[in-house]
Amino acid sequence: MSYVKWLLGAVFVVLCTFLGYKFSERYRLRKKFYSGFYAFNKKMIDEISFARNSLPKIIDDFHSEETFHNILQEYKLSLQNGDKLNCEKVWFLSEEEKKETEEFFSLLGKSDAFTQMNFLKTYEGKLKDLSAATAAEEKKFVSMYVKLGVLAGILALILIL
Amino acid sequence: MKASDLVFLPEKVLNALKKIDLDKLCEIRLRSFSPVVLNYEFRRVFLGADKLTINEKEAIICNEADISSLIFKAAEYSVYAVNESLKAGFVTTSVGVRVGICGECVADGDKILTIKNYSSVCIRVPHFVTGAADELLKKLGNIYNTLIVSAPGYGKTTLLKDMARTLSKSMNVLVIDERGELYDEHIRGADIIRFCGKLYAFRYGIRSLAPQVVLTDELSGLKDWECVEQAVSCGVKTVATLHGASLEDVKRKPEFKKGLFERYCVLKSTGRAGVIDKIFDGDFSELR
Repeated sequence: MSYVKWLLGAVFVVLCTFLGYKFSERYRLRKKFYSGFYAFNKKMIDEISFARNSLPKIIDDFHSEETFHNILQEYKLSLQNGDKLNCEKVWFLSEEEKKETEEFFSLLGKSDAFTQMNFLKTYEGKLKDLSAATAAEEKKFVSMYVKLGVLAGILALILIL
Repeated sequence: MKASDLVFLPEKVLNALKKIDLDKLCEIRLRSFSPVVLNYEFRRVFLGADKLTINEKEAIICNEADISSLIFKAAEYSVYAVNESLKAGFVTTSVGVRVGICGECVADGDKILTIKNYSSVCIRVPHFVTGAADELLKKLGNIYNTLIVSAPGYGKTTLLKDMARTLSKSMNVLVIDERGELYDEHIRGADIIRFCGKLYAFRYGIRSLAPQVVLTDELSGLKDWECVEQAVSCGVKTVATLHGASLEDVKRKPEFKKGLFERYCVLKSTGRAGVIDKIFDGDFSELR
């Protein structure tokens, strides 16, 4: 009978660890998002300085993790439909961050190279800081939530035993 | 020409165009709060939602937002990539459709920065007509420095493109495509420099690509003629086009240089592109 308790306890440890990991998802996604966003902004600066390819081509050639890649695909679709990008479903961003992201994409491609470059350079510093900040948050909170999950699981194991 | 090549058009216009034969369509004109006008089979007609019409009350009307959106889409959502051509009053799509643009110029002294508040567009619908240049090449018999002359819409560009196709089978042909209209999959055998001023293209193209023939569209102004002169002095045959109703129009141009071209080919309007009216030699004697 005791082995059943141990087994149940182990299950709780794994489950709680997993839940701790899931609770930290927001920070992981934010890090991936801003890392991709910063890289995309840099890519745009390079393009406008040199080859000046069209936005759809830049988006198709740009490789990023799924989080930001999905936003780019939504943006590309919104261009084709004549709509604006809507970040309502991007749950891991704050309302202000959603508006800023929408504003960034609403101004992309709409002006000459000189003006566009100034616009991208303005965002470059901001996105670099956000990328670093979200990376630091991810490191801190993911570790914290996973440890909390493990502790909760061990507590549950102790209570079961 | 396929409907998918015109996907930048407002939906109501594109849907109406899908109901007509696009191979007969030469030009589309959209003006703010005015009926959409077509050059269809060399006739001026209005575009209705279901059919072509001569009654402007049945025509589709576009507004400023439609025209703005059209230009943005024609530029592939990337004004920064086309602003130089935009300042010159046109945008060329990726498939070679030239969109002429009218609006307010934003100037800084003598320099035009951009165009804003677009009010109208003129869309030239390109066609590739295999064999369009056969008659001219047969009548010429050999490759000469040739100037093709006609009023707008008579098929100079169509003729030039087919000439590139034919000549590139046996010669090194350089196509200088300043406005991006000459590119076509049928002329992949030629070297094509696109979206570049003639001065740079002639100079770099002749040095780097060693062409035997250079083809270029729409000579305009003294500098363009000097580019041709430079090519001819290098022993490179040049075929160019020029807007003009007749040979007399050509001779009246202040930049005209006698002796530069060995043949002058004047086109006529018959409802088909690139039909030859007359050919003259370098001394303006008509060749029969």
